[in-house]
Amino acid sequence: MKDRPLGMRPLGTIASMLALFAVLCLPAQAPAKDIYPAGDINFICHTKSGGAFDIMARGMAPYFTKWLRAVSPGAKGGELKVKNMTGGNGGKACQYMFSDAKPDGYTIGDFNRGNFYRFVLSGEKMPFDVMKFSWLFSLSNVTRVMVSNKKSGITSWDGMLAAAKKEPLKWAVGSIGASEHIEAIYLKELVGIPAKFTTWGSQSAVLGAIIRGDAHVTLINLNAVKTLIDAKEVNFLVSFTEKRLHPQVPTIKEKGYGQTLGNVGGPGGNTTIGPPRMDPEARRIVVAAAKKMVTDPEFLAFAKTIGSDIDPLFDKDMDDLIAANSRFYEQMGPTLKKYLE
Amino acid sequence: MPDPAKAKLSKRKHKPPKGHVSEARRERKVSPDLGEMLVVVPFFLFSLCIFLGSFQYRIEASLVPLMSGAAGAVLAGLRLFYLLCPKYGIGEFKQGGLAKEFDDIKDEIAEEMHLAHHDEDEAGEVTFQDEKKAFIYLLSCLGAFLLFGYLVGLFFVIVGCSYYYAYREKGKVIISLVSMYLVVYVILNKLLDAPAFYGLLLGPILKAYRFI
Amino acid sequence: METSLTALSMIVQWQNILLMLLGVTIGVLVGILPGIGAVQAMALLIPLTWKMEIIPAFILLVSIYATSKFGGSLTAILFNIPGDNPNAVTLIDGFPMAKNGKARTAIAASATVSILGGLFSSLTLLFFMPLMYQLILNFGPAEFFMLALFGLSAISAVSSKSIVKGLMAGAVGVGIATIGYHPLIGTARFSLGFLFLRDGIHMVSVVLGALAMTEALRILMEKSSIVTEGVPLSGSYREGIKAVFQNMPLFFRSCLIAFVVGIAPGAGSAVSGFVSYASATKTCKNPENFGKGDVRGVIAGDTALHACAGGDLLPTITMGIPGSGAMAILLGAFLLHGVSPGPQVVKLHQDLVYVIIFTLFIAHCVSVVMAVGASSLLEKLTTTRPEIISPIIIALCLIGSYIMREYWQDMLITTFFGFFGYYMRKYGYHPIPLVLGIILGPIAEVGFFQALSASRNGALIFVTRIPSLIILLCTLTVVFWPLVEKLYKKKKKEDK
Repeated sequence: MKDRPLGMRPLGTIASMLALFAVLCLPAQAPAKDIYPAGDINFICHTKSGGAFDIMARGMAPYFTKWLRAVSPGAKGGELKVKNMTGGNGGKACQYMFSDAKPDGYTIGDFNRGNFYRFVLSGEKMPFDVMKFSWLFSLSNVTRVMVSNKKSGITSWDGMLAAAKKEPLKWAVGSIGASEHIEAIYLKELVGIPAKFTTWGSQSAVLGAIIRGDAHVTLINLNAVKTLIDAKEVNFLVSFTEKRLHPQVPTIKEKGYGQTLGNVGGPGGNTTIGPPRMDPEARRIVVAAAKKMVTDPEFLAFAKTIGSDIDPLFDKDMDDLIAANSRFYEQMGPTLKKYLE
Repeated sequence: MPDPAKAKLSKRKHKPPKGHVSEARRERKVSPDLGEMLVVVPFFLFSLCIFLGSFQYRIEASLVPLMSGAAGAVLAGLRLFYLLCPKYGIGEFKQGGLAKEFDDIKDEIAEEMHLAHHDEDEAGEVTFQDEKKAFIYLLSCLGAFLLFGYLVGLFFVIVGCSYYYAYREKGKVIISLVSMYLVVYVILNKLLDAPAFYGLLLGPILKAYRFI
Repeated sequence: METSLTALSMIVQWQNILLMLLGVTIGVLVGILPGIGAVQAMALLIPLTWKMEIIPAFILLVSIYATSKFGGSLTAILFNIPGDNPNAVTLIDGFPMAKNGKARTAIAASATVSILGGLFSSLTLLFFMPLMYQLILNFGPAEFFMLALFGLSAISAVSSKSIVKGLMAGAVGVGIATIGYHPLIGTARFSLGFLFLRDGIHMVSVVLGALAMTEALRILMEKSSIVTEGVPLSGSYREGIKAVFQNMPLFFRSCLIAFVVGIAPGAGSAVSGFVSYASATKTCKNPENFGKGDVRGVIAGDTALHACAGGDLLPTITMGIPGSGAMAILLGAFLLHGVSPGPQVVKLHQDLVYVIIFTLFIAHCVSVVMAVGASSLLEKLTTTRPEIISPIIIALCLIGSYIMREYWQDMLITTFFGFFGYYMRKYGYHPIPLVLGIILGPIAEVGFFQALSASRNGALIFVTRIPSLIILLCTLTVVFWPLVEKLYKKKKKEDK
C-alpha cells in the first residue's frame, strides 16, 4: 500500500479537523431572542487608532455599556468593541454601515459628518443616501478657532482682513475635504477673504506650517492648538463660539457672522449612527443609554480630560441638525466643486 | 596556462582566471534570456499606462506619475528592445550599470562575470517543474485564504504543503500548525483584536446561518 | 538631579517593572507580527491605562512603543518579513546575513544599536527639549523633499549588478505610489473606480510579497532551508557587538539623521531608516558589499529606527504635535491623564518627562536581553525544512497584508508580488528599489508641492533655505562623487 504523507486517512481527518477549527474560530454571538443587548456591540470608527474619534469611542465604551445594561434590565451584553475601519477617506466605513452592517443594533458607528460629503468634493456620486442612516445621537461640540503665525503681523480678525486685502493669505488646511476644509471654504466665501488654500495632509503638519510661517492662518479645532495658544506660539484671532474663550479675543458672532455657528464648528461634528432601518427597540435602548451617559459625572470627567465639550443632541434636535447639514452641503456643492477644478 | 585535462577531472567548480571570458558567456551576451520579459513587459506596460493616464489630472496630480511613467517606460522600453533585437546593443545595460560605462578595467569586468557565472549556476538548479509546483502551491494558498479566510485557510496552507511536497514528519507539522494557530487566533485575533476574515465563500455562509 | 533619581526610583518599583516587562513583551510581539504594529497595541490599552496612575501608564505605553521596532528587526533578519514598514530597511542586509549563517551576528548588531540608539533617544529628549521650537522652524517641506531625494539615491547602492535596472524598478515603485488619493488635492488617481485602489497600494503588501513571499517560494523550489545549504551557522554575538563599536562614526551619523528626520512630523522612522542606509552606502568604504549581507547595512538602518524615538517624542511632548500614529496615541494618553503637552510640561511634570526618558532606554535593554535569550531558538528556524517554514511565511504574509487595511484585495497584491518578485530576483532586478520608490516617492511629491505653495520665490526655496541646500549638496556629492572619482582615476591611468 502506498505510504500516505502524515500517515492519516486524509478526508475524514481533514473534515473533522475543519469542523473543530470552525467551532473554535467562531466568535460568541447573541442568540436571536435574548434581551438586547445580549452580545458585543461593534462600534465602527472611521479613523485609525489614536485619532480623536477613536480615543472618544474607547474611553466612553465602559460608560455606554454600563448605561445600556441599566436601561435594559436583564441584558447581559453591551460591551462596546471599537473597530477601526479606515479607508476611502471614511468612505469604507460609510459603505459598510450602509450596505453590509446588520440593522439589529449590534453595529453602530461614530462619524464626522464632513466625511459623508467628501464625495461631493471628489465629484463622485455618493453611493449611499445620507438621510437613510439611523441617526442616533450627537455627543460633543467641535470648537473651531482661527489662529495665525506669530510673526505674520496678523494679531486680530480685523488685522487678518486688512492683510488679506494687501496680499492673499496662505490658509493652511489639513486633509482635503475634511470638515474644517469645507468650513474654511464656507467662511472664505461668506466673508470674502482673499486667500489661497494650502493643504498639508494632517493637523500636525498644519500646526508645523503655521509655526514655520509657511502659512499665515488656519481654521482648526481648539483642542489641537490650545497648547500653542497658551504658550503664545500662535496668535488667537477669533473663536466660533457663542461666548468668548479669551477676554481679548472676540467671537465670530461679535464680528457680525453669527450664521457661521452651526456650520463652522458647533454641534454635530461627532455623530453616532446606525445602519438604515435599525431595529426600533435596539434604537430606543441605545438612545436612552446615551441620554443617561451624558449626565454621568464620571463620563463627563473623562470627556473633560480629552477636551471634548459635551453638548448632546437627540431625537428631533438630531434630525433637524442632520437635515440642516444636508441642505448646507447641497448648497455648498457648486462652490466646493469650484475649489477642486 | 591551466591544464584542460586536469580542469575537467577536478570536482570543484571551475574558477576562470582573471580577465577570462568564457565562450559560452560571450554567446550568452548576444542572446539574452527572453524570460526577462516576464519582468520587463509588465514594467513597460504599467509605466506606459501611468504616463498616459497622468494627462487626465491637473498639474499637481500629474507631474509625478508623468515623470515616473516616462522614466519607467523609456528604460523598460529600451530593455525590451534589447531583448527582442539584441544585435543592436541598445538597452543592453552592461553589467555594473552606468558607472561602468566610464570604467574599462578588465579585472573588474571579469570579476563581475565570475559572480554572474556563479549566480547563474545557482539559478540553474531550479527547474521549471520546481517553479510550477511552487506557484501552484502559492495560488492554492491564496485561494484557501480568499475562500475560507485566514483562520480556516491556515490549516489548508500548512497541511496542504506537507501533502503536496510529500513531507512525512507529522509531528513537526502538528507542532507548526498548533503554534501558528496560537499566534494567529489567540494572540492576533483575540488578544490584539485583529479583524477576522472568514473568506468570500465561507463568510457569507456563516453570516446567513448567523454564526457571525 | 533629584528629579531624575525620583523618576528612577519610581521605575524600579516592582509593579512598574512588571508593567515594563509586559510592555516590552507586547512590543516585541506586535513588532514580530506583520500587519500589526505598536499603534494598534497602544490604542487597545489606552482605556486600560486611564484607570492607572500616570507614571505606570506611561511606562507601559512607552515600553511598547520603544521595543516594537526591534521585534520587527528580528523577523526581518530571520525570515525577510518586516514586522512593520520601518523594518524593511533591516532586511536589505540582515536577511542575506541570515542566509550566510550569520543570523546571530545580525541580531547582536541590531540589539546593540537598539540599546545605544535608545540611549541616544533618551539623551536627545533630555537636552533638546528647550530648543524644540527652533528645530521645527528649520525643518519644513523643502527639507523633506531633499531628504526623500537623498534616500532615493540609495537605489544605486541596492541595485545589485545593474544600476539602470534599479532605476527602472525605482521609477515603477514611484508610479505605484501614485495610485490612490493625492494627499494634497484629494483626487483619486488611477483607482479605476475601485474603493481599495482609492487608498492606494500599501507598501507593506508589496514588501511582504516581493521580499518575504519570494524567499518562501525560493526555498520551496530549491528544497533548502533559509540558510544556504552547506553554510554553517557561524555567527556570534561577540562579532555583532564588535561590529557596532568598530563602526561608531556610522552609528553617530545614523543617529543624527534619525534625530533630524524624527523631529519633522509625518516623516516616520521608515524614512529615517532608508535615508540613513543611503548615507551609509555613499560614505562607507566598499559600498559594493551593501545588500549582500554587510553588517554595516544593519547598523545604519536599525540605528535610525531606534534613535528617532527621541525626535519623535520631542514635538509631541513640547508642542502637542504628534509626528506619527504612535505619537498621536501617546498624545491622547497625555490628555487622558490631564497633562497638556507644551513647553510648560518640562517644568510642571518633570518627573513624568524623566520617567519617559529612562523608560525609553531601559525598555530597549530589556527587549534586547529577551530577544538575545531567544535568538538561539530563533536561529534554528533558519535551518528548518522548507515544508515547515515556507507555509508559515506565506501564511503570515497573507494574514499581515489583510489585517492592515481589511481589504482582501491586499492578499492578491501580495501574492502577485510574490510571483513577480521571484522573477525580478531571477533576472537581476532587486525589489528594494521598488520598495524605496513606494515609500519615498509620496514624501518627495508632497514635500515638493508643499514647499512650492509655501514659497515666495517659487522653486528657489530649495536652495534659499539653508537646511534644504545642505541636504541637496550632500545628495549631489554622494551621487556624483563616485563618477568623478572614476573619471579622475581613468584620466590618471591614461596619463601614466
